[in-house]
Amino acid sequence: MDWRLIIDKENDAFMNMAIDKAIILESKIPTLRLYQWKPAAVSIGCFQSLDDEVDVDKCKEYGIDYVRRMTGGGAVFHENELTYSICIEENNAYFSKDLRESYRQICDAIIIGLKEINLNAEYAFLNDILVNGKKISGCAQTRRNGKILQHGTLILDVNVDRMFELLRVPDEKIKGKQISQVKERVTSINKELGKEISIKQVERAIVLGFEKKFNIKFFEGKLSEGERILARKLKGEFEKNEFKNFT
Amino acid sequence: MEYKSVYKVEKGKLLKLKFESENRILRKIEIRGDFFLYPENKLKDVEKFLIGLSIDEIDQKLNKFLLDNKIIFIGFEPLDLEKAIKNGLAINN
Repeated sequence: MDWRLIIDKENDAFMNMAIDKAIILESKIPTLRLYQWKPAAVSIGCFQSLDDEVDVDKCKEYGIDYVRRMTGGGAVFHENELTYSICIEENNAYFSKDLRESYRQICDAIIIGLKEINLNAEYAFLNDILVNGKKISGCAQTRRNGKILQHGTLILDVNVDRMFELLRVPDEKIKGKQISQVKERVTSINKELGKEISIKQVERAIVLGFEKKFNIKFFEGKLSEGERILARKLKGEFEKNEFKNFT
Repeated sequence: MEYKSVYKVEKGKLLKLKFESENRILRKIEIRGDFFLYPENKLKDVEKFLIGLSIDEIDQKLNKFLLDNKIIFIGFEPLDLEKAIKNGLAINN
């Protein structure tokens, strides 16, 4: 069976999260969606406390959205990046039923994709991909409704100073290191290539990565009517303050 | 008394806890952090299960609860949670 590829336009944070949720609830076929964020946004993991992780006043000052994901993991600043989400039935011939192993398999597809643009990347358990020892991609997975959905980032360019203005990094993560050392642990595709690359090139590379890893073919499609209607409905959930605040 | 604990699991995730304890018995707990837990909607069940437990028996009892209820933690283990709570008590006492 061919898999559906959705090259999505830029959406705000709430619609992006609503579409991913609509896909896991409604989709009938394996789907890879590639998307971007406008305006830039911070997403936090579903078990995080907003106030602990995000400087909300700074987000408001810069016009940056903040949203809680349906997946675990940490806070992410989404700007100048390509985001992927891959969704498939849990009973499938491609991904392991074992959670940890399936993270690795999906990250392998991303690593193969990065190779297409001449980047040598490596997997770092559980949910990171590194280039030259620095994080270039992170991801998070959920399983519900008999399906797997994993979404992840591919950083094209990173404004590390802005990122650290918006995200509150706890002392326990820094542990004696200078903040500059923490900042140096993040990199981007453009930085590693030493030149600017287009979103289209990265999209093509990621699609190829999945095709090669899983020996599949994509057809370019779009959201079904049912998924679109559901996403519009779910968007409100992600915008609610009670949801953002995890009360 | 309310306690707070922020605990970085070695080669794992960051746990941020708020809890109340009386004579080393948990009376209330909120578990937050950048970890993964499957299925996600079971976090509240885990928090509820911990109420009334002695902080010295968390590792042992929570392991069984997770197995019985098919709940998976990634990024920390029950023993890490016990250590994080004990750290919080030690720092705040």
